Amino acid sequence: MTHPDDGTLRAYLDRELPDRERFTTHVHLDDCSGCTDRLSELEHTQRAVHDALALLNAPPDLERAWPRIELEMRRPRARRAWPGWSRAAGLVLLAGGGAAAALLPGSPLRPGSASDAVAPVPSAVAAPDAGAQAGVRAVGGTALLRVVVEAPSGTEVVVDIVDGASGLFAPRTSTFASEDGLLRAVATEGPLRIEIGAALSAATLELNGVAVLSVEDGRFVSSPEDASGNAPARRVRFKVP
Amino acid sequence: MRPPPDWENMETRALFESQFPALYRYCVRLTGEPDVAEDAAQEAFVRLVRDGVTGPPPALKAWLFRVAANVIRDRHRVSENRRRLLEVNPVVPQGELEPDEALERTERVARVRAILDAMPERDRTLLLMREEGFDYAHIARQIDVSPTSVGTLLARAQRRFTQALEQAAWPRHAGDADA
Repeated sequence: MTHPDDGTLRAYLDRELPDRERFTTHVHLDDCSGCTDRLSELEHTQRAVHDALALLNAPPDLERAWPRIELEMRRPRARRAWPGWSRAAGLVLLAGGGAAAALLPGSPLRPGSASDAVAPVPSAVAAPDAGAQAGVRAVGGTALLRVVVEAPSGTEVVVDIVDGASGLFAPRTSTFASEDGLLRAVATEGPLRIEIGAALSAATLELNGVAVLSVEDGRFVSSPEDASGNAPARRVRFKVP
Repeated sequence: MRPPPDWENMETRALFESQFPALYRYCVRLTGEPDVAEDAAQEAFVRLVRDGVTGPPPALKAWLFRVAANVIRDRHRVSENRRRLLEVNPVVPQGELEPDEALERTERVARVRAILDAMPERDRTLLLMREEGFDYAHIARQIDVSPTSVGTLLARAQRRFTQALEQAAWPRHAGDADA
């Protein structure tokens, strides 16, 4: 193995390396005094940063800060929502083949948002089965995603955890919507394919009004397969009840 | 008959008690101004309540920090004049220090503040978010980079920060900072 760079060693210290890379780095460190010294130096640097920043602490006054928030709690409120849900300016509705066209870079139909809080649409690609399916990719950089699908009983659903952007794909007869923190589809037939970005903090799938699956930090924390005792890793496949 | 407990309000209060101190600390470090920091941290919570935002705790924490940082960016850009004023007369909790210790601490705070203010915004955000325990995925989203590049950027930002401390004749044993 070549010597790991400082970024890799930093990620090793922060327990942010994937298991395999963490293992190879660990093995390398056992045999390489130069890299072990660099690791110690990085630890020392982090401690120095921590100590210096501690000087900038100021104690919060919780009781002074609370009344303004409490006042807001007494006002009539909007419905509860996921972060990002209520901030988007409007729903971008795309139907049938238009949705697939919208995914092509440069297309005038490419989905977007009027809200300046929403990040640009990630560079989109065609649906995995571009010939038969259309779909939408997640808009915005929100940490949370809600996938809302209406589909007939018996429709096959595949959910994958992926390294890239989240997406929702279904036959071209489906109707799609994408908003910051939300992907929505109404499908009349299957199969449905849902891709959940591993970088998201949390995502949920709601099928016909029922939450059936959730993902946190790139892992399934509840899914139809969980119930049978088979903890899925990156893919869940089931049929709409 | 006793009225039913208001679970939503109790949850909000619990969230406030668990997250406000860290959020306020982050904002103080970001701005150097306790009043501005309190306003931004409060505003993030007010928007959380007003917009009915909910979700798992880690995601709520990330949301609050992002909103507070945006509030600071939009509403409280620290002007050069204010920054100079703070360098001359920083706000420092003095506690029970002796006068000469208090003076030394004040000077240290001013140096750290100046170094932090002089850093590119991305480096500053990296250092402060990591210090608050955010993982690489959350940091990457905030500064709009790939999670796999956070380690490299963080190591670089930390080294620049400590080099600047050394150039500012920082005492070799800085471990007494919490004293």
